[in-house]
Amino acid sequence: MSDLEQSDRIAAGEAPVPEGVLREVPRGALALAALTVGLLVVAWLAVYAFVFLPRGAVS
Amino acid sequence: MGAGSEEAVVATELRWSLVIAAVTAVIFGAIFWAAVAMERVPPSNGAVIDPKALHVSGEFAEANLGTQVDAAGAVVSRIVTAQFQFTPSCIVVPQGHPVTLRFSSPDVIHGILVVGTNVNTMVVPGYISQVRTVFNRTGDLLMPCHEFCGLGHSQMLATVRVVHAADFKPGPDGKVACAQR
Repeated sequence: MSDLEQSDRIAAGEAPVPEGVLREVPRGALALAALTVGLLVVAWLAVYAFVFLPRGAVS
Repeated sequence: MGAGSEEAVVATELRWSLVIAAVTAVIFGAIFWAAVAMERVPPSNGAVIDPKALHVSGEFAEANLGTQVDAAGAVVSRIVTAQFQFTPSCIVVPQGHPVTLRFSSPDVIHGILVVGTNVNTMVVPGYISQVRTVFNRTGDLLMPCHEFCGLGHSQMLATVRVVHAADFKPGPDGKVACAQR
């Protein structure tokens, strides 16, 4: 049985998820989430500090 | 407790929620700090005016348009935004001095921004839009209409001429106009 078929069976709920995958997936998901949110925050702060603030006060 | 157990998932989600709460707090804190400490807030003005008589009487009568310095030294520019031009199409303001820009429209909704600054407001018929700011750099700044107002919208442009305070010389009537070029 190929890995592809095995992953299809896992996705369909016909086979148990291997323990090793359960250990690794949350770490990868957290790393991805931290990276994307981190980039978003850095980009927001960069626009705030280097575009918004230098453009002067308005009221 | 295994990595895939329900407790582990809940603990991870709780920690991630704290991260997101911290990010949200930082962003809201920065916005709040700018608003309170540096007075960077969206322009807000509740004054109303009759759009049918805008150009012929009251504050936006032709004689009052452009930049004026009052007896107290306050610099105020009044501009009519109409399809498809600003009147006047060029205003002079001093560098490094508080300036009040007042706009009104006799016809449809317009919007203005001054390139390279945070000046940005809608101009709605029947209301006076007001923005207070300080221009820090000299030069000619483009002020286009940024709200689609009809077929000539893309040609609706004005200039904000920021001059050194020493070169900003009001006439006897307190008015300052762009020099003819």
